[in-house]
Amino acid sequence: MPDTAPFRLTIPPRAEYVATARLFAATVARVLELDETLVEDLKLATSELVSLAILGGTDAPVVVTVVPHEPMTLSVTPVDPSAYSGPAVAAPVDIVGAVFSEVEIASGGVTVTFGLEPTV
Amino acid sequence: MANNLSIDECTHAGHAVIAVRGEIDLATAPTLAAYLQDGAEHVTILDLTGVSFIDSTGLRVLLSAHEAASGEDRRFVIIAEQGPVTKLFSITGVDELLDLRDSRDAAVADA
Repeated sequence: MPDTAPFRLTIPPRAEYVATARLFAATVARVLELDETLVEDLKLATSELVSLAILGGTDAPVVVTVVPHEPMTLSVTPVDPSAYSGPAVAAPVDIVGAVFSEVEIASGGVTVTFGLEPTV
Repeated sequence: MANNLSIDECTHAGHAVIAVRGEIDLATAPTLAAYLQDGAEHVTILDLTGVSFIDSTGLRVLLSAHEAASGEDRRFVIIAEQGPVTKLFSITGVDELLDLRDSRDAAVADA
């Protein structure tokens, strides 16, 4: 499969743009002809991670990147998981981890690796 | 109302039902939270069948409302059908905690 460039969205760190990030992730996922369940999972992961980035109080733009070739990944930066202080049952990174088995926290962001089929 | 969220009051079999439609996220959850806090005593049935998306921000609003209702021994039933709402409830395990029904008829049946 030929390499294709990553899909990248940069948004201001404001709550009203979380929906924009979800729309971006869903559109890319559908362009890649991913299973609809996986599209919904990617929307959720994007929403959780972008929200977490904003909750962390960053002034920097939030960047959402989808790499469309194996290994396919969704990354959001800047994300600081320790910025969350609510009930454990609703912890954003744990929710992402419940739908995606490979979640990496590194380089100031969170990266989710996924395959063609949803895991949940 | 925030752009992607609407909250309407209606009745079903003589019971007040609050119907939420749209997306519950970081932008819209505060609107729902304020509504649930301001009208706490009369929100006993919250219908989320029109909710197309919810994430943990929305979940935290529901958990707060549930906790407040439990603390005051008040009924607080959530109606949700199979979809993104029930999936989030299931993966977080809160389906075991919340008072869930799958229809308005079921919600009023034991009111």
